[in-house]
Amino acid sequence: MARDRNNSEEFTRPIRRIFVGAVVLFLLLIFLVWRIDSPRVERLRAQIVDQVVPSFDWMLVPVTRLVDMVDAFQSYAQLFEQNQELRRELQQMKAWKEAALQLEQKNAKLLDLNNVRLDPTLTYVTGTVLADSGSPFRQSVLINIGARDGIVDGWAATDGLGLVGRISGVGEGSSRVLLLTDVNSRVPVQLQPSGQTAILSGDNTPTPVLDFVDAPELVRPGDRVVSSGDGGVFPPGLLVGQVALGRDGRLRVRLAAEYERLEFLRILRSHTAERIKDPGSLLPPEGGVTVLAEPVQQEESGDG
Amino acid sequence: MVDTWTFDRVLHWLLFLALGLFVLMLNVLPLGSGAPGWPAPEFLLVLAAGWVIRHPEFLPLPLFAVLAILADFLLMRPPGLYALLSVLMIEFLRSRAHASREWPFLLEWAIFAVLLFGILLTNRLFHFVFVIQQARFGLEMQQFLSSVLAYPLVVGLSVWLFGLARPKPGDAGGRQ
Repeated sequence: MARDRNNSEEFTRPIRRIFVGAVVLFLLLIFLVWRIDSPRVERLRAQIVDQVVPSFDWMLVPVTRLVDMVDAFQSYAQLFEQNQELRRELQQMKAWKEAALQLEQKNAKLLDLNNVRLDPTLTYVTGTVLADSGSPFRQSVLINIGARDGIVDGWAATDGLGLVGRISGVGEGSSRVLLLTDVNSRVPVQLQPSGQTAILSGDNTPTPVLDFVDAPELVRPGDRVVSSGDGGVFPPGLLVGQVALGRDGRLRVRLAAEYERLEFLRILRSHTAERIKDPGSLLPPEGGVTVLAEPVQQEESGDG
Repeated sequence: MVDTWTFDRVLHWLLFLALGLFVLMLNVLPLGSGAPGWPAPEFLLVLAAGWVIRHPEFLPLPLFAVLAILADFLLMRPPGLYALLSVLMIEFLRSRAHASREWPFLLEWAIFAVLLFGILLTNRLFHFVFVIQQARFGLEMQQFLSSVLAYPLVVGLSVWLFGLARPKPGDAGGRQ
């Protein structure tokens, strides 16, 4: 019996080699196609994730709940201290609230005097975090809203307080949020009160780096960092965090969003303003206007 | 006789499929998301290596290839590349499965670590040649270390829970 099997193994070995070779070639082909036509394969990836991850929701939920419960139980231990701390913070907040109300009234009056036109107000969709990227080299999360809810690539995601990231990859019922800490994340920001602009670039650490600061000597740790709206990626004025001096001497940002516990994310519908789609025809020659007008007339006559 | 043998096999295929999907989901769970800490091991590869050394017939190549490519898609890696390298590693281990019966566990562990390190370097080389953005080497080393440390744990659990002990050199006919 044993000899029999050895014989058959000798016989099938070349076939097996060919089969393994075919699998390896196929995988290599997928990789090459991805390298050549990345957007198409990334769309495929979004569809696959869209199909696979939500169908495992029933499994994800209990495990996540369990871990959350353990976390919550641990926090019972510090309940008293937390309570004291919260009371103190509440006192401070009341003072701030008073100040904010007064400032708001003043601001409204001044805006009225100046006749300023404000941006159309931001509306948002809220989604739940389904899964994270699963790899320590990619900082992104998957949320349970997608093209079905009108999500578009590039919209900003906040956790209600601070900026979290932006949409990159939309499936039918899920979409991926690229976090500010990811290596691929670059966001134009403004430092207040010095008013300088900089680029916030993620580097896989909890505190992203501030690049291209004009005059670093004007920046102090603790300065506020908000999105500047340059490049039209994000709406301006979203809170990002505070400047901190990293151990390596570089300027970093301590993020305002609670990255430890991302549960609900707000996706800001930010592209309600006009978009310029056609950069080629911005400066047409003098006669170009009539050329543009002609086809329209023809079409009209054809209809009539 | 043949029936129970086939049944056993199919049962273990299904078991591996379930385990593979489970560990993938474990990797994807939104725990401490966005706060980069100590990276989790690559459970799928660790599990597959432990199984293929013990019972190569319980882990058919198509099953592993499908799981590996799915892992590439889910974990936001360049699709196909890591699956390709891990398939090569698993096939190498499979071709040594007969010899590996006599290996002590420490040797098996060391060989796993060496192969995994080889994958890491080849992966970096591919990234370099195809101009894809690389992760920090330190972070990849951390993941490598946690994978290596997870290996005895995963193998121990597989042996203990699913009776996946190595067939001894003596009982050649037994399960094989």
